[in-house]
Amino acid sequence: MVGERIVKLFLVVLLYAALVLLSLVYMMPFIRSAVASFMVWAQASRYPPEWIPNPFTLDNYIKLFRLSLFPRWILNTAFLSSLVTAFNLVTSSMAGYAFALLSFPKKNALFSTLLALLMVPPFVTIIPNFILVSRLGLVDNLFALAWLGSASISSIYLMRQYYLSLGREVFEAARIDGADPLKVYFYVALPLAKPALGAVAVYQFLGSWNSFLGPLVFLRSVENFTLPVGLNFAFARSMWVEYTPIIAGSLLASLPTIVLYIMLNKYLIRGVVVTAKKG
Amino acid sequence: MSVELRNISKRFKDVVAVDNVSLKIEKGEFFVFLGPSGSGKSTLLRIIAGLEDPDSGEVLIEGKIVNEVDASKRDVAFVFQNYALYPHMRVYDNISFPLRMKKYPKEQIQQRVLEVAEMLGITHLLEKYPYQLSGGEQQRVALARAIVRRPKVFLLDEPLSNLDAKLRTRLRFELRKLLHDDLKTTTVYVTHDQVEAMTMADRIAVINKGRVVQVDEPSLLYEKPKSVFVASFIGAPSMNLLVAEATSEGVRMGKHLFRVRDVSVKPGNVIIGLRPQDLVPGEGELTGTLVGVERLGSGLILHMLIERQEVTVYVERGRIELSPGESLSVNPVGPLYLFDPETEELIGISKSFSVELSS
Repeated sequence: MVGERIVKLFLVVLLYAALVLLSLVYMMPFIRSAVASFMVWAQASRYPPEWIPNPFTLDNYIKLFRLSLFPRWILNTAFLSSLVTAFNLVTSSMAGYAFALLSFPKKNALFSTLLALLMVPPFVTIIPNFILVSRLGLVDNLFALAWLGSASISSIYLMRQYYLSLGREVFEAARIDGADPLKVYFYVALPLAKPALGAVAVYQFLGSWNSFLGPLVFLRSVENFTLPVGLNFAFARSMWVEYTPIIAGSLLASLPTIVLYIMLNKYLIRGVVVTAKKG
Repeated sequence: MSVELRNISKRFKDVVAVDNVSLKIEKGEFFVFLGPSGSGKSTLLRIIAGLEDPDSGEVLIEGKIVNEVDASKRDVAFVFQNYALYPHMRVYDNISFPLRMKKYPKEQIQQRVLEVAEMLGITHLLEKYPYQLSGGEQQRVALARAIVRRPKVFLLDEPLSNLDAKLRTRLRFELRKLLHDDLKTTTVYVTHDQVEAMTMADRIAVINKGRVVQVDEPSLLYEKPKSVFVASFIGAPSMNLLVAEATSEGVRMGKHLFRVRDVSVKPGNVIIGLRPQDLVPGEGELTGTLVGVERLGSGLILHMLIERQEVTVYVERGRIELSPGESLSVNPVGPLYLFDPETEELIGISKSFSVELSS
């Protein structure tokens, strides 16, 4: 009996040790950034890496706030991310609804084609998109950038699966009760999809908040830059990059996304649980 | 309002769900589709509702072809097996939903919802959400949502199968009273439970493998089944179906000879049917061995072997005390059904026959 208990305890300790180790590995870049944001670049770039800032400096943050465009970039990023999120909520909830619940010719073929597009790397579409945008005279325009990100296949897929998980009866009941497809969408599908919409919102907001390639290619003037592009621009010297202020800036930039996640976290998990119960 | 189906067929990929079904349901009738699971009875109901399109054939409501009319415009109410209540709406909003879709004035909606809630005894639940209700309460809300519209036809897809046995028995009586006697609305009811079908229906359509096998009143289905399938599906315990051979002297099953006087049977193989209720233990010419006893409380089901074929006998309580292995004689008191083993169709029902032992 006692022996059994000791073995069990030992296993639990072992398990926790492994979990702690793994989470440390996972959190390492974040911890490293947090520490490095208080170092001078000479120390932060040293190898083997050092973990205690010496000398401790707030210079990196001061440099950030000395950039007159820093608030502007935050605003640009927030504006772009909100717009992309809003667009995606509309497009994915509607397209997902159509693919899940409406019947129209070639539905399955269309959906397979859409999924196949997931295999196309984003770099491939950048040049055609750029040509398109520049012909329309919309280069260096935040709206154009938001428009390019206004629909996402993975979000459409996520919404479709969510609607399907609710079972078709509740939608059929609404149809029998006299609701046309649009009314079924507004009265039944949309209110029931709140958890999935929350997930789409978080993914899209985080994605566009952190996105680098799109803004880098499609934005030209400094005052239109988003935070990731702006930070890189401000601290890139001709031969090297001063990373510590960028690190400090990224940390500040990630704050809103962390807050957003903490706020919606409960909601997301509840959504997952509801789906699990239904399935 | 009447509902008519003309030559309806529907397949899902390679599976034929409904195979050339034609039938007419009269105005005000309580009509039941009865069949085992996978027989196509629910598909048929969904075709009437407009939730599925038939591959061929016509659906008529009130004498008008409605194939091209969307489910939302057919003015039929549908009660789903899992009730399909709107989880994000209170009971009041669930019930009023069909009226809101039709843009009724607010006062009228309120009046009608309260009236229906009163009728079903759910007035105290109106402010609750569906997840706060028990199965039976959800069932009533689903019914209220159907009734409040005053539709042309009620379509119910196994509405009682998710409830416990006691509630089910009570509701099947209430449901018929409400929909048929009080509201006098045409109702099509799908079930796999033959007791439910027998107790509720004006007429029953027995469905097997996508085909309508027989349409009749409940008592006729029991007394005059047209095929082996109906005979074995209707009645509990189900009818004993035994392999026998027709000869010039009568129908022979091993050393038992049934002398059938009122039905002529061509010589050859034949299936004979005897209801368990029509076999009385005691002095009789049908002899075999008892192999098991099921006690139901209200009676006993005896399982016995006659000529190596299993036969069930239904006895009312206390009339027999026997243990397995003992030999038992039974006396057939009811009709003898004769079926053709090739087509599985009824040849005839003999009410005048006797059993002899001979070799």
